[in-house]
Amino acid sequence: MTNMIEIKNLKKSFKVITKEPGLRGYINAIIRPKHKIVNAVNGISMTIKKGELVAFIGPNGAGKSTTLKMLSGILYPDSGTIKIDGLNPQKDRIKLAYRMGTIFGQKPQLWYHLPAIDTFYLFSKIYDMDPEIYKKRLEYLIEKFDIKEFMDQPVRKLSLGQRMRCEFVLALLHKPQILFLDEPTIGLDIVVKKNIREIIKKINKEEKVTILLTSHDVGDIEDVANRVVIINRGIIVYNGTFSNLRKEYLNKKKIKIISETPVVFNNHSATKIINQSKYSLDLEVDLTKTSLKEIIDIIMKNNKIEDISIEDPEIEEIIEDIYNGKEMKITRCG
Amino acid sequence: MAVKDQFRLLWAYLGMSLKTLLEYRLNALLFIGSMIINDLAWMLFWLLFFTRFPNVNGWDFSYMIILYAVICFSYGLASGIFRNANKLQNIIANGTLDYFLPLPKNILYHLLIEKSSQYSLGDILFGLVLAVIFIPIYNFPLFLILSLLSATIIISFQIIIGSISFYIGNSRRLSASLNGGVMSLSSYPLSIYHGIARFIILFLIPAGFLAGVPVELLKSFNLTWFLLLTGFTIAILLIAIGVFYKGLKRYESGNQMYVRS
Amino acid sequence: MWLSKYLAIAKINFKNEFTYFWDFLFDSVFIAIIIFIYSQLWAILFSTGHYSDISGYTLAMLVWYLVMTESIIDFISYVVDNIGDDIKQGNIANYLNKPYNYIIYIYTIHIVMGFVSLILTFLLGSIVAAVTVGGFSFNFLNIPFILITIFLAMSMNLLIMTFLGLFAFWMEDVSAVNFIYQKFVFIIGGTLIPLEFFPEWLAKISSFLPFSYLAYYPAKLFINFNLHQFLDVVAVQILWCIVFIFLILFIYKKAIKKVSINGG
Repeated sequence: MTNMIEIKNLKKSFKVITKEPGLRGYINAIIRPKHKIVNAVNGISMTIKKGELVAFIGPNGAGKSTTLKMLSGILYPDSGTIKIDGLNPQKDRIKLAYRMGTIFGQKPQLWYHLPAIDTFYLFSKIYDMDPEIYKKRLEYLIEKFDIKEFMDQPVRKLSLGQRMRCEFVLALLHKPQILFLDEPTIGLDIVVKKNIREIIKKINKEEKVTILLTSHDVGDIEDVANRVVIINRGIIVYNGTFSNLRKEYLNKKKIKIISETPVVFNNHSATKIINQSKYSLDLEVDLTKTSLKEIIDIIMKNNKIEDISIEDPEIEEIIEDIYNGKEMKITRCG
Repeated sequence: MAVKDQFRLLWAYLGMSLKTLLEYRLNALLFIGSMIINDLAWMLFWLLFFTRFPNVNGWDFSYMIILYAVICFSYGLASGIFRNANKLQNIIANGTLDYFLPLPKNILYHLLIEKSSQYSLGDILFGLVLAVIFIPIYNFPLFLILSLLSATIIISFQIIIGSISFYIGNSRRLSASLNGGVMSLSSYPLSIYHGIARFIILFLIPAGFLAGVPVELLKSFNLTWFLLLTGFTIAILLIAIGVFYKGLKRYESGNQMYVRS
Repeated sequence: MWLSKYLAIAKINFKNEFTYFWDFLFDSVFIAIIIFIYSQLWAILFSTGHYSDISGYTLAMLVWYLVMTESIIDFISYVVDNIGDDIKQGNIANYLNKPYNYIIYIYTIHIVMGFVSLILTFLLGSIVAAVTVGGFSFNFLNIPFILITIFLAMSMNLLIMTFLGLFAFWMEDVSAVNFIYQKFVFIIGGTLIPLEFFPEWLAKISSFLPFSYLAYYPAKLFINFNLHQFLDVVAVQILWCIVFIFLILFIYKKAIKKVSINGG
């Protein structure tokens, strides 16, 4: 079986008590609570093959944490099926637990006051690891993640980056086949983030671990994942590779010009001036309304160009647009 | 095989808690010491009380000593080994429960042993010392057995009360109040309660079986009551496990109600 | 100006707490159980001893005494822990150079919560007392005086707990300190049993310590009002408040020194 994860038509909704503000709201909430049904996950289907590294992104409340919780056996779906490595998280919870590892970025599993090595030992007992196997595995991971220096110090004394490396060792200790990473780089600075991303890629390749990661940080996805699933309002709005995402949803480009003579440019229905000074111009071009060639021709006709650069929009913007459900059209450049 | 694994797990967790305690040695002494001070203070309280009021309804200071020996020791055992029973409502309300669900161990057992109370050693020591001094040697095995039963009742009750959080979302304070209330009810002689109150305190809130009955058994053994106590302990344990897993099912079905303002 | 600012903060916190209206209520459940226990205890005592009163307290007075002490004392044992958290998590950084502001901030929030807790606990406790032992003779005209001494008692308690909480600058975990303090208040402070029931020597020691002014004296005045005693008690309460304000400022300054040396 090459499919590690199979999700079919997953649905989950919650009953939420809504409360109006103010004193009357409080009283009403006690006497006559008002309910609202929230469809957190509204029919999701996807498959993830063994060894894939999939990023699962979406805004807050989109349903990604709910989906992840259903995958890791924390919540039961209302309807639909989940199969992980052929097992059902609901029925085969314990069996699956041996094959699965989790890292919740905001909830560390290492005991704060003790050295990481102590928590490693604890987890070897949780996963019923044979002491010999544990020893060998630990040696291997210590070397791989380069934690020998600080694994004997209390975790509270470690830097965030060091802590995260230890968390990864912990998650990989029992040789899971699948790893769920929920916001693994949250709160980390850029250097550490890069470090962690390398680690994730390395694990995926060398350990052959299937990885599903959720994140708010687009950089995590850009640098790391081979596939992206975007979820919004409980449904999947994009499921494909990252490069396709760029290609299909690329309908804007930025042109930056530096001119020898004062800039002459009339704003267009298809253009938006982002920045303009005497000798420079930053322009956003809507490729659904015009072509890049047209705009460049206009600019070059009226200006003596010293320097020109053409940029893709930030990936955040692309995803922003997808979140907002903007009409997307496949466009061509040039 | 599975039982051995559970013990190994418990041992590992106790080791972690002990190490954490020793990380801050001064603090550890402070915790243990303050519990001993607390227990001593209560002894002082009762000493003063009985000095002022020598004989109340047939019970006296020696009764209180035995009562405290049982309660301190059993509560110390309960909070030393299965600490999280007392915090179950927090674990559920905070979502910390999620930590245990993806792990390959029995959920209730795992979450109960995860933490150990830093105060527990104080209680255990105090209870043991009282027992060693005031309970005759031939009764010591009985004392241990009764304390084990008592500890089981305490944990079971806390599990039931903590599970309320599965149903009302945030029962932190309610559960804490009830747990505290039961321990308080147990720390006073059973004979001050009468009528319906006594029935409730004996059977519904197990305060009577927790402490009163063991003390009576230590003063004069009675097979019927001993069997009743054992039966009650098993029953409340089974009920506790049932209530927890029923609530867990509810939790995992995500019918928990969240309040949003 | 600053008063309105702190009242606003108190108001928000109050609203925040009122969201957990049930929490307040449930906290009181524990107290109600305690009051019930003691009503039974005293009842047995009175009946076996055939007393009509002990040291001037009738059965009803004893139980209502407890209702009052519990209502005053119960309010927040987590002030100490809150301050400890503030220090551990660095929230206090904003207030490092403004000790007055921090104290007033803590005080305002908790005194308001304290009064709400007082009312709820007293209501629930009264019900238990009324059901078990009935009422006692009380002159409602004394209420304003009682409120004053209660207010001062709570302020004292808050100031002491703030003082203790500041030890978090030196200690890893202040919860043990809080724990011991609560026990002292309970046993020496005459919370459970009026000081008259204690042997002479203990009552004498108690009168030198602040603990008895936290619950015993206000409750005693509630049960048995006496203007002369009221004035005495209030004077001592105010004195203790001033003492602890100075102690807090002293400790605070030491703490700032420590923080600036160690870099927090």
